[in-house]
Amino acid sequence: MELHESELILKCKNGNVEAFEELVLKYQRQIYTVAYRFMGNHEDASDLAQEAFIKAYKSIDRFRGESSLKTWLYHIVANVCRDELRKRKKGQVLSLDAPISTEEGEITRQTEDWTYAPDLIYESKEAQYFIQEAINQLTPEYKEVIILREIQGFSYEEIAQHLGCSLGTIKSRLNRARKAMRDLLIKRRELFVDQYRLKQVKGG
Amino acid sequence: MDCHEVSDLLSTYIDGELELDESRGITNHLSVCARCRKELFELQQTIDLLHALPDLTPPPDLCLRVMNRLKAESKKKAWFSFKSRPWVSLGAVAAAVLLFVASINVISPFRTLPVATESSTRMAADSLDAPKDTLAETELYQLDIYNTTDDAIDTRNLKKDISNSDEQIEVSPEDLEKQLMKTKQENDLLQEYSLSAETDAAKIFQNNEVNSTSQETNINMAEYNGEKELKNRSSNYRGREESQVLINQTGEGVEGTGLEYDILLKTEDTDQVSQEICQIVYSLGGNVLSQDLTGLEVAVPTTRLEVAFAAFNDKGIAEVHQVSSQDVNQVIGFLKQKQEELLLNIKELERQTSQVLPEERLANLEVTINQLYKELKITQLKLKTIANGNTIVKINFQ
Repeated sequence: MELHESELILKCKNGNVEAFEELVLKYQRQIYTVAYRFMGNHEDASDLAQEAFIKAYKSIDRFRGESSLKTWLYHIVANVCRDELRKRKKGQVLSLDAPISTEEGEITRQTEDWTYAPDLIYESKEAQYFIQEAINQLTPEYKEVIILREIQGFSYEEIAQHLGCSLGTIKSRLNRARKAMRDLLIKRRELFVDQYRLKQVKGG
Repeated sequence: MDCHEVSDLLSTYIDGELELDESRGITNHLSVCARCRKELFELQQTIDLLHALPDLTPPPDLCLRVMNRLKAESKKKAWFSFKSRPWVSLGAVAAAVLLFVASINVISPFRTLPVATESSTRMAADSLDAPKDTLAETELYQLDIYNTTDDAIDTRNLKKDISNSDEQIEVSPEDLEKQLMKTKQENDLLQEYSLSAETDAAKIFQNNEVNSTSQETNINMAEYNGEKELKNRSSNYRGREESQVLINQTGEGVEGTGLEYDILLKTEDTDQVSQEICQIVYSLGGNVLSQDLTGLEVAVPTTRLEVAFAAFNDKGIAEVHQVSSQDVNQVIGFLKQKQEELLLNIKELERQTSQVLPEERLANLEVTINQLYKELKITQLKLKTIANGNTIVKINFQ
């Protein structure tokens, strides 16, 4: 018999670190995915998902069940990623994927490679990468609103609250962001035709 | 509404977050403007592509890394908070604020995410730094919590010190009830509004069909008059009162207007046919409501119904039979009833999930809830599309 989530949360509040493990296992997939959509590479996504869980544990006392735990975690991971993107915009933090400039020229960094395989829902993985690549190209402002809405599924009100903007601002920003996304994706026309088939695969 | 205005609102239109009159203005514009239809189609596809992105598998050691860090930090923190305890507890204040956010997430004709009507209870209690004065401040605080973490463990220990009664802050039942009433009223208001708007649409449509005998002629008439009336509509639809006047002049009753069609489609290659129907529907400014192996449900702007049927034929797909048509009020009434039943069911099931249950039972419940949400979404989508001046066409393959 599995301990119900609310009991796990209660245990965490009482300082039981082990209880948190189950929650991490339950949500790591979704949290990691959001982080990946924001950051566009596995190393950063992995670090920031970790960061998000640690923040969540530390502030679990403030979780009062006013939303689902998933929603709450979603807010946290979105905040963590947002902060990171801002930091990078300011100081241009070294990306692990970026080549290192040396006197002899650029060399590519060698980083740990996860034996990682994203699920195959699209017929070609490559299409997924293309879409992620398009997300990566968005400005942080657009990226954020696109992920909050399309990946995390927040309502307009939730997004407005999360970003501290008015509903009107969110509506027009989302409109611009979607158009920017459209302009990037439309470079590959076949994606737009394939969509019908995708729908069928998804809907069974 | 010109193309520029429409283009600015399309994204919001897709999410069903526009005012009803704006939304209808756009539906009308789309039924005559191929360029905006193309843009709508592209935006919708963009959104669908993003929605279809799969969840990813995290690195296998993610959980381990989180747990190792937490265990290491909790040892450090325990020592620290013991040391600082006597000082902090002096300033402890507990505040409880009840905040309801009732959001009527208006049924979207295009959205695929399963949140429909949702009211969430927000409650902020305890802690040293919680602002107590205004709701707005509390909201800020709620948002801010995700960023403040350093003192979290101290606060946890501290809270135990203060007193146990601070842990549980009761919400008075009166407050709860008041808020629920308010939410309900808002809901009713919305429904009333959309109902009357739907009736307007029905009247116009009905008017187009006067004296028709067979369904086929009905459709022809609708299309013919529909085009003619489009000018009236697009100029009048902005204000509801204005469109009211239009209806009074025509002076017909509401009864007997068919707004839902069942079509039996004889075909071999259902996959291919589904795709082509989707394309036709999208190109007419309509939308696909649901789709499975046995058929589809689509919404087509009422004024372009005949075009849609003709297009099905042109593709060599269709021998279209109209199986039934229903009174628009019946359809709406039925949908609303269904919506309410679904909401009640979901509420009840969600209440059950908050109890301690065997894992298997819990998983089953969640599956059921998801199914209900899906049904709810489709139901609300239909209500919305009817209100937008669309006609629902159910296509069954044979």
